[in-house]
Amino acid sequence: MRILLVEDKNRLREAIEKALRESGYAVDSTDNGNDGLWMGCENTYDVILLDIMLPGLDGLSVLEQLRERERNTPVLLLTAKDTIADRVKGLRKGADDYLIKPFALEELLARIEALCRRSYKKSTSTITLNDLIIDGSAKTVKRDGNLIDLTAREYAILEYLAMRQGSVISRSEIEEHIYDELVSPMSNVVDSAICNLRKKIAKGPDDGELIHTRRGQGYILMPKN
Amino acid sequence: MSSIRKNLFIWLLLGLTLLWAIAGAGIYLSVKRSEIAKIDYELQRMAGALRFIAGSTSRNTGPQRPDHLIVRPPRENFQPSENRTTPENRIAQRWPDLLSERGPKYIIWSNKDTVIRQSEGLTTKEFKFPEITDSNSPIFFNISLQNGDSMRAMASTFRRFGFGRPRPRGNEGIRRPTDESPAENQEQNLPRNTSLTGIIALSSKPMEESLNTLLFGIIAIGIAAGFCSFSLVHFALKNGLKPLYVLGNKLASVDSSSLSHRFSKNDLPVELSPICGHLNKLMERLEDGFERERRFSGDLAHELRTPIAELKMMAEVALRWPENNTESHANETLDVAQQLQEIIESLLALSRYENGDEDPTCEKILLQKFTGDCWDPFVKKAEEKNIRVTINISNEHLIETDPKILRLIINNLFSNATEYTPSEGIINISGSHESEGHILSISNSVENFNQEMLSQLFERLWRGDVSRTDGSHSGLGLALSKACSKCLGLNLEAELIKNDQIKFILSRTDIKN
Repeated sequence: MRILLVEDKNRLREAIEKALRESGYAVDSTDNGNDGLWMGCENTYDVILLDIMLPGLDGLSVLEQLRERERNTPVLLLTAKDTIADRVKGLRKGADDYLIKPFALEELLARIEALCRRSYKKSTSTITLNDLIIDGSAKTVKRDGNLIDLTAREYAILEYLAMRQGSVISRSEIEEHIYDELVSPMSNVVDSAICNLRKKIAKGPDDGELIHTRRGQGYILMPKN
Repeated sequence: MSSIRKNLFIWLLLGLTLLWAIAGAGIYLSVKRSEIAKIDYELQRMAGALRFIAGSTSRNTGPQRPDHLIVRPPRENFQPSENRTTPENRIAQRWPDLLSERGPKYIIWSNKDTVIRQSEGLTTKEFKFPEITDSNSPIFFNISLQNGDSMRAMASTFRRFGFGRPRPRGNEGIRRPTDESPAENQEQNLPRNTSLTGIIALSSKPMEESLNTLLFGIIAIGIAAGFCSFSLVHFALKNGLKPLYVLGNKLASVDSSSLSHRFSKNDLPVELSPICGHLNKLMERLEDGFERERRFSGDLAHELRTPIAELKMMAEVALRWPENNTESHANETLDVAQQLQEIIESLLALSRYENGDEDPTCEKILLQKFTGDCWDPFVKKAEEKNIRVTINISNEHLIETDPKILRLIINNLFSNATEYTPSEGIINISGSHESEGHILSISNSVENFNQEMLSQLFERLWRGDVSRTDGSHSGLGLALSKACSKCLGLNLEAELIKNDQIKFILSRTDIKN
């Protein structure tokens, strides 16, 4: 999952960015509204975390312009403005959620997950594929009741494929959603991550693959017949 | 607590009652006066009869109605001597009511001790001889008889009717005493032009009865009018004061969320229009005050919440992923804590100075040296921004003030000037002689600053940077400087010069005023 964070307070932005990366999200961040608007329009994000009081263009204006340009990325407003009028105003401008500073990291992560689920039309945080169970809350994966040890990035790829199970997902799509701007388009990080993932979720050498490669198209997560 | 309604109610009711009473009394008295005047007129009319009565032949019983007057003979018939004009005939013709049963009573004296004629049943105890000073002016007075009746009487003097000695009129109507008393003899011998004194009186009972009826009527109408007045005043006050209640209810419905409401003068009477105007002005001031407080609360929330959010997030990240903790992380945490501490200390200082909890300890200081010392910490920053600084203060300029508080003021002004003066800008610091009022003025170049921002400059936590990105300032410095100035008896004002320069002037309040 790829997240855009627009926050002008450096220390807070860096802390959130770090927490999100550690949680397996790809994060792009900026400290002003103009850049935030440009990034929100140019890239595809699963969630945008937006502060309201920003230099340049304020958060509500960024949100308004995003919606005007038909960018329907879920937006979570992060702000110190706590009045009902402020919340109502933010939600009416097109925000999907509102979180008041100071907030707990757990709550922020839970809200981001909820927004991601909503964008992929999933009602629960658990995705089941045959005997493969992906728990979005605990960020754990079990196969046949056994816990599989995955890195944050591997988990993110598996979760993304599971959310869109049955659909072919291109390499570039995975890059866009799982990796941030720092990843080179020419790198084979996606291929190697998929390879590692296949090995880790397989029950044994003779076990059939859950993640299939469609040559020239991408990858697809499908249940075994 | 006094009540307009109650006061008006009492006064209006009392006023109306008094008016009704005066009107009733006026009507009663005027009717009474008119009735008395009628009786007096009647008495005057009948007083003429006394002359004839005095001249009549009958004694004591007064004139009797002759039978021939009851059945008058034809005029063409011969008139016997008894029908010719005699005092009795004259009386019967001119004052027929004198002879009726309800006719007047009279008494005639020839002198104080001698009654020559009187109505039946009267005594001199009831009709006392009147003392008449002016014979042309009759005297009117009221008499109460022994039987309880009251009468209206007129006393007058007159001359006896007739010529010479009264002639005998046959047997009827003439009572010639056989054994004449001395008084009767005296009366018989009275000359015709003798001055007599008489009292004629009419019963005032009918008048009193009609006056009593009138009085009862007036009282009954008065009571009915009183009830009507009560209802009328109640209704009038209720309707008259209704706009006041309406205005009061509208005012009562105003709360912090409806301060933008303004009362319409159109629905109110003209008397309440000025009050409505003042209320609207009050609402404007309240709205401004609430807006200022709301802004302050919002700004304070932001100023406090943001560093707390930073602290909380950094701590949670450090706890959750401890392998990434570095020394810089700890330093950042410390910076945030320091920033929070500064905000809280500034707020506490502001509260102390605004409440006058700080007592200044004054001493004489040389302004030039003092200002130079205050400026030293800002020299480096000014040089980094290539700011041109000029300090123009006389080296003999001595002021008496609290140096600790003055330092706080000047430090904030210098910090503000170096922070917001753009690169290549200017800062002018000048000290005027104290007798001119101004103590110190600091002007510096500004960018993107307008008159509206100037009006909010000294508000607590106000910042030109609406995003409040820079954490090194909280927007309390100028508010604190203003409060400190007030504490020292000084006035701190700011003015915008040509939209590109702002000037802070510190002056003495007493000289300015």
